[in-house]
Amino acid sequence: MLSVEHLRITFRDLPILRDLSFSIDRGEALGLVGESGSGKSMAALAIMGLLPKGMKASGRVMFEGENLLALDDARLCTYRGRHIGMIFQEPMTALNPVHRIGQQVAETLVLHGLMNQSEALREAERLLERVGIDEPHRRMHSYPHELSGGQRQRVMIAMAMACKPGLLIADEPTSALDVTVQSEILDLLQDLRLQEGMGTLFISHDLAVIAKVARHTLVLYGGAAMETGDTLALLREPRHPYTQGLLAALPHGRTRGTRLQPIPGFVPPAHQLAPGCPFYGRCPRGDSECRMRPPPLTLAHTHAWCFHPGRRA
Amino acid sequence: MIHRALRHPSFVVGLAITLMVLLIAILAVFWTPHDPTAIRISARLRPPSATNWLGTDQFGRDVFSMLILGARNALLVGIVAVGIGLSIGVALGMVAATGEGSLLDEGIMRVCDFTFAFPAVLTAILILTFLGPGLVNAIIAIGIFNIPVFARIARGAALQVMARDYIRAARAAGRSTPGILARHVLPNITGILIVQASVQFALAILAEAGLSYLGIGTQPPNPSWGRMLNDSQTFLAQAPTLALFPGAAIALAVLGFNMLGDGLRDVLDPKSLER
Amino acid sequence: MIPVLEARALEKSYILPRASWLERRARIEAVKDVSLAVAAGETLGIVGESGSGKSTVARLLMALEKPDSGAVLWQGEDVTALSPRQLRARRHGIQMVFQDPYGSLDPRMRILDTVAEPLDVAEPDLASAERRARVASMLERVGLNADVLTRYPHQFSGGQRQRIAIARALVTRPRILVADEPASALDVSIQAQILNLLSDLKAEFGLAMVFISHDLGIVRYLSDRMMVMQHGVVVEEGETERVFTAPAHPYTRALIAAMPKLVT
Repeated sequence: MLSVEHLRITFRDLPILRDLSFSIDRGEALGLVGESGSGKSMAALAIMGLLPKGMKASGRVMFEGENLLALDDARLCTYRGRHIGMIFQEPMTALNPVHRIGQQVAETLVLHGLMNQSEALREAERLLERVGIDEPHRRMHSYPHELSGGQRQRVMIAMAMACKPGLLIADEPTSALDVTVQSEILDLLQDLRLQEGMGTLFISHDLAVIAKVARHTLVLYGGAAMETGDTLALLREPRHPYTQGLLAALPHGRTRGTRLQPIPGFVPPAHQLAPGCPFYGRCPRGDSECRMRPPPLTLAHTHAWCFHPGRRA
Repeated sequence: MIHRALRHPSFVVGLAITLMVLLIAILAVFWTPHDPTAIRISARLRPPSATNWLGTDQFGRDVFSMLILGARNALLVGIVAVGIGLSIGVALGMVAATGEGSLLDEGIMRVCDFTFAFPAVLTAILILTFLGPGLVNAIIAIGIFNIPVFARIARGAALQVMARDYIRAARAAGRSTPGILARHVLPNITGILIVQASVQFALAILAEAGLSYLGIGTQPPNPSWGRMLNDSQTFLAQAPTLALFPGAAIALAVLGFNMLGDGLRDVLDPKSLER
Repeated sequence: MIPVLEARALEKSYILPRASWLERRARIEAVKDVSLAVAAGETLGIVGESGSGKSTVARLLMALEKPDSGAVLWQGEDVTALSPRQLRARRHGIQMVFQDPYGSLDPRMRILDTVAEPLDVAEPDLASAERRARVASMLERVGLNADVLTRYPHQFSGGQRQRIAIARALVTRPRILVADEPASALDVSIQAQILNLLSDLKAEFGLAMVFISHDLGIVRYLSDRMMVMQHGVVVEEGETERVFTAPAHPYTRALIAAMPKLVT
């Protein structure tokens, strides 16, 4: 349904995203994992046609047979919200503080010409109930600031779901929430995806969150794909040194007294990244070839873009 | 820092204009082409010529001589009045911010609101009826009017800064409240204060013009840009240049200070260091 | 052993700004009856969600705020009764690392002056060469070169800033360190560097550490004992492994269940 082919994003000749390809089928979830500067959010914005000024995208973003990158803004607007829904990290800034939430949910439906105002308000109430807002009839009249963070995220989800989009893009939807609330929201998203058959692109810095919601995972670093594959396989037996490093750096289970194994150094700014593999410089296996040439795609139980894939030494 | 400043275009231009105005003001103390107070009714409202470079006014006085002598007054009014407002206002604002919500804070801010409720010129007139007319008293009156402006801005900006963790860290380090205000709060609000100061500088010159027009500011025969501008209104049809020159002088001085202020704000910000 | 840091029956409530003139001012009780003790070389983890009162506890322990009742003891001395001047004179013994490395360093101050700040208060007569040397050696200890001294915060990444903040906290060789979510704002690959650094420094300086976090995995990794807070109250307390393997309170169980896990 969604197929991203050779997506590149540049900002004044600086590569922000290098040659990214992936696809998502109806009802399927793909997790996009990366740290800050990995380009994961930019990929999402490029799909929506919402890149910041000065950034240029090339390649193809095929959505139900149409290349979104080739569409003008007016045509894209008929996709945004209608066929592709999006939820963000901070629902407080994504919701309009001066409008009642029922009205905001209904607005999307009216905007895309699916319903008239009174039908839309009835549908909004149903949607709020569906996403687990208590007493939706009363809550319709609340303003965003009267809700808790978790409830606001539920409202955002209701808005994104309103037009029954084929694809949902969720950019760090639970990163600002408490763990107990996070787990409820993740369950809700999972539930909706299975019931409505939406494709979901789930973006997060947190591997554990991805593991909970996405069958497939794509790991990004410095604007380039590192490794992709079945989420469980990727977590059990990663082949790319970056994925391995990421997992070793996380404290999990009974690790007290042992030392964590951080990835040395820090994420360099985009203009200092190697032209070959961006992980070069922090990678224990990097050599001169890694620096100069983009690494090849190597296929096994996961696919890794690496000259030296394999078990951790 | 100086090196950085000299590469900042707006700082350099602003500094050049301001220095020029300053030099002219100093020059005028010792030398003017004509006696700016000499009245020659026979030569009234002359257009610019070789003898009177910028023409003459309704009393036949040399406009250029009056203008350069007026520069001193303008600078004095702008700098001293803004200085009074800035120093007292910022001190009050920061004190109010440290005691946010306290009686002192409420007291200071309500007094500020009270002064805001009166039109600026009316306040100045009121003050001048107590102090008596004259340039010095006009400067004091304008300065007093500037206090609440800066107090309000300083308080708001200081409250924002004081919510940051580095203020907590400084307290945890054992720094006292005055120390924190001087070391952390003041440097972080200077940018916003400088910008406001350059705006107030322009307003101060114009306020002095208004007061002089009413006869309670600069006393004749001492020339004032503001009064020249106001006086010229009556003769606008006969001698349009009469309004043009003091207007341009005010605009130039204000422009210089605004650019200097903008540049200074950037230069003082460490983020403008090498990228 | 005498605890280096102790809190007895802390209570703290805040008055909310009233919504309208007619309403009564609402109070919220941020911390209710919290007691704790930390010995030298020991780490106490405090876990809780937003609004649990864990950050209020941090500010009370640091004496940045006064409790409504109860006592905070630094090395056996009750500091709630001290005058501001006496309190400032004792602050070099207890320091803090904050969550947001972008907000905790003064953007207008050179790194040298930022790190030296606690030193300037504790030892105002220090010669400038000695001051510089002490700062440089502490910066080196946290993994930064001396050439950062004259630079400004905006020139550093989040991880580097957090190292600078740690250097500032330790430059006076305190006995107690309160760390409020010190790694939460950092990328995973950087987070591990900071956590390792904190646990090394804790051992090296024999610090008593209070480690506050919403991340159970990190608290489990770093703490000897832990407290679970909810709505301002400590609902469970004990040896970290005991709490994780046999949680007694339903809220602790809910937290552990909600924690996203990698492969189990």
